[in-house]
Amino acid sequence: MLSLDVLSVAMALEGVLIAIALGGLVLLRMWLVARAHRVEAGVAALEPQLHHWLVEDTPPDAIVRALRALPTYVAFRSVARLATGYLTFERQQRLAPLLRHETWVREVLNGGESLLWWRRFDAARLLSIVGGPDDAPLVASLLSDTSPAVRLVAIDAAARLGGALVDFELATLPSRQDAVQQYQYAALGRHPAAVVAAVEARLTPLETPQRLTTWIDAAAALAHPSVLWRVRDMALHPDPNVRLHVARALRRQPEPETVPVLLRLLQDDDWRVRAQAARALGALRATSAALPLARAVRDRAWWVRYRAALALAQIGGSARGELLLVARGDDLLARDMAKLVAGLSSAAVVEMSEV
Amino acid sequence: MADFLHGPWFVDLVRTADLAILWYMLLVNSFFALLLVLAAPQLFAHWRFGSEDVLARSLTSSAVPRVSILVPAYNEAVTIVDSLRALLTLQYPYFEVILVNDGSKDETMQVLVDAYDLYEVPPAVMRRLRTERVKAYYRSRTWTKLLVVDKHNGGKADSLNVALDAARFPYVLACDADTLIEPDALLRLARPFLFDQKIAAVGGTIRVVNSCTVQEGRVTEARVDHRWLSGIQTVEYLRAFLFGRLGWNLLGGNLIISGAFGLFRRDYLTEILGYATSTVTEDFELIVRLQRHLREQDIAAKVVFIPDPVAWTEVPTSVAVFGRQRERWHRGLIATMVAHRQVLFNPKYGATGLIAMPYFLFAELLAPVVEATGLVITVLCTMAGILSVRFAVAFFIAAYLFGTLLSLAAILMEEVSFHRYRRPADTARLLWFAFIEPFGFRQITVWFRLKAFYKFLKGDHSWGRMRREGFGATTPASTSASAGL
Repeated sequence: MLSLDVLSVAMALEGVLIAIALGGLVLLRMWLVARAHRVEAGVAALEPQLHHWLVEDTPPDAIVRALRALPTYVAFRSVARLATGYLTFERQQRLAPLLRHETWVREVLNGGESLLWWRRFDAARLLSIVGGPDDAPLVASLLSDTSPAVRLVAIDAAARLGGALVDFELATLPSRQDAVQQYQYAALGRHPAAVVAAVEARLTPLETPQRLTTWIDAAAALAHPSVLWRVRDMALHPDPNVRLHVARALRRQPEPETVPVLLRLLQDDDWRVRAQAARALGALRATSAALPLARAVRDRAWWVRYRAALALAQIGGSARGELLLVARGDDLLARDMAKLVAGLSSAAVVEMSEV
Repeated sequence: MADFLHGPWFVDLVRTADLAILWYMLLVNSFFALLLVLAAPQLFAHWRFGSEDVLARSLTSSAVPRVSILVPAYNEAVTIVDSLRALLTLQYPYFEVILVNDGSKDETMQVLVDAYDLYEVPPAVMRRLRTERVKAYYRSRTWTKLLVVDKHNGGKADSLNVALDAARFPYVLACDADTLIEPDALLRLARPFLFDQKIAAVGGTIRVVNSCTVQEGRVTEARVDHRWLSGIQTVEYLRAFLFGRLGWNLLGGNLIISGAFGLFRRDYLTEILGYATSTVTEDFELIVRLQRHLREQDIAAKVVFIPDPVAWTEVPTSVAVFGRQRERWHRGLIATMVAHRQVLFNPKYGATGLIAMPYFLFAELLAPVVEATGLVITVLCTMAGILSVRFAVAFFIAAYLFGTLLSLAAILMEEVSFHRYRRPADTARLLWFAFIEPFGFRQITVWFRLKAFYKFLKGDHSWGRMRREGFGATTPASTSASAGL
C-alpha cells in the first residue's frame, strides 16, 4: 500500500514541477515576445534595401550588409522568408554568391554535418537559397539524410546546383512515394538540359514496368519533345500500368502524330488507360477525336465517361455538338454524364479537366 | 451497518479494491506521462517543419495530393455559409468540396442554394456504397470546386458515404460543417505525404472556437472563453491533441483521427465499405476498422497525427448539451470496443491490439467506473475509519496535482510551439481552468460517461440533440452571402 510518506514526496515533487511550469510559462512568454520583436525589426530593417533592389534595381550589397548586422537566426529567417515570398529564382541567383561567404551563412551551413536533424534541416533550407557547385558533396549527403524533412528540402538545394546531382537524384526516384517523386520532377525540371539526356537513356523497354513508369512520369514533367517521342514508343507496352502512364504523359505532346496513338489507347482493354487517353485528347484539343470521344462517353466505366465528356467540352466547337447529341441519346448513364458536363461553365471544365 | 462495515471480509475487500484503484491510477498516470515524453520531441519537429518557407514550397508544388473535402451537414443553416466559404478558399492547389445536406429540417438547403447560386445536375456519380436515397445533386455557378448533394436523412456516417461515392480525388478530408479549417491547414496536413511515408490517414488538431473572433469563416484572433464549461474544454482539447494523440504516433497505434478534421486515402475507405452507419462515433469506429484492415491485408500504411494543421470547432456551453455529447462519445467507445473485441490483446494486430485497444479499454472505457468506485469506496472507508482521513486527503491532492501538471504541460507546449493565444489574459485563463478542472467538470463528465453504459445496455443508438450558437462575430459579407445578395 502506498504510504503517506510516498504520497507526501509525490505531492512535493508535483508542487515543484507545477511551480517550474508556471515560472517557465512567464519567462517563455517574455522571451517569445522579445524574439518576435527582434525578427520583426530585422525584417523591417531589410525592407527599404529590398525595395531599392527590387524596384530601382540597385546592387544588393546593402541587403547583405543589413543581414550582417542581424543575429544569425534572425538573418536566416529573414532570408528564408524573402526567398520564398519575394524573390524570383533569378534574383536569388544574384543574391546567393554575395551571401555564400558571410559568417552567419557559414555558421548555418556548418550545421549540415551536425548530429542534430534540425541543424541539418536549416542547412538544407539555406543551401536551397545560397548553395553553389562547391556544396554538391554536402547536398548529396543531405539528399540521403535519415530525416525525410531534410531530404525533401535538399531536393530544392540540389535543384540549384544544376546537373551535378542529376544521376544521384534519378537513382533515388523509383523508390520514392508518389508525392516525393512529383516534388523531385519539379526540381529536376529546372535543369532540362542535364535531365533530358539522362531520362532518355533510361526510357528503354528493358527497364522493369515499375521503373519505366517513373521515367515516363519524369518525361511528362520535363515535357521535352525528344523524351516524349520515346514515351510514345511505349504505347504498345504489354503492361497496362505502363500504357496508363504513357496515355497520361502524352497530353504534354501537342504533335499531330500523338492523336492516332491516343485514339488507339482509347480502345484499350484497361479502363484506366482509356480514361487517361480521353483526358489527353481533350488537353490536346484533338478535334479529329470528337466521334471516338462521343463513343467513349457511352463507356461502361464511369471514369472513361467522365473524362471523355470533359474532353469533348474542352475541345469545343463540333465536339461540343457531339456532347449535346449524347445528352439527347438513349443511353441513360451517358446522357446524365453529357448533361452534367454540358452544363458546366468553361472555368469548371478547365479546372475539372486539369485535375 | 457499523458491524457490516467493520467485518473482516469487507475490510479485506475494500483494501483490495483500494489497492487496485491506486495501482490503476498509478499505471494510467504513468502512461499519460509517457505520452507526454513521447510527444515533446515530435511537437518540436512539427513546429520546425511548419516553417513558412517550407510550406510555401509545398503550395507552389504539384506534389501535394488531390483532395476531396467531405462535409456532412444537418440543420446547419446558422453556420453553413461561413464554414463553406472557409473551405472553398483554402490555400491548397487541388481540391473539391462535396457538401451533403442530410435531410435538414431547417433552411440549410435553401441558404446554400441562395448563397452559392446552385443549380441541379444529373446524378452522374459513381455509386459504390449503400446509402439513403439521394434527392438531387447541385453544382455552383460561382464556385467550380463545389458539389452539393441533397439526400434523405440517414445520419452523419451515411452522408459521409454519399460524399465518399461522389469524390473524384484519391484522398478525402472528412470535416464537420460547423468546423472552421484554417487556410493553410490542408497544406500542413499534406506534409506527411511529402516526407516519403505511406499514409492511410492523417489527423490534425481541433481547437475550441467559442469566444474567438471569426471573420468570414476565419478565426482572426484566438481567445479563451471566460465561461467555465467551454474554457475547461479548451484546456482539455489542448491536452488531448498536443500530447495525447501526438504521443500515440510513436507507439504506432493511433486510434483517433477526429471526424471533424481527418484526411484519408479514399481507396482504403471504400475497401472497408466506408463509414459504419450503426455507430454513434463513426470516426473512432472507422479508424479501428481501418487499422484492422491494414493489418489483415498486410498494408504498411500509417495512421498519423500532426499538430500544426488546425480546425476550430464550437464546444457545448450548457451542461445538458455537453452531457449528451460526452454520453454519446462514451457509448460509441463501448460499442466499438465490443464490436472489435477480437483485436484486444491480439498480437496479429500489432500495436493496435497490444497497446492501443487495451489502453482504450482500461484508461478510457473503464475510467469512469474506476473513478466513481474509487470515490465511493474512499468516502465510505474514511467514514468507517478503515482509511485514514490524512491519507485520503493526501491521495486526492496528489491526484489533483498530477492532473493539473499534465494540463500545465499541455499549455506550456502550446506556448513553446504554436503560441496561438497571444493575449496574456487568455494564457491566465487557461491556467485558471487547468486548476479548476478537477472540481465539478470531472465529476460531471464521469456521471455522463456512466450513463453511457446504461444507454448502451438499453440499446440506445440516438445522437441526442445538439444546439449551436454560431461563430462569434458575423461580418456584413457573410450576412449578405446568406441572403443571396
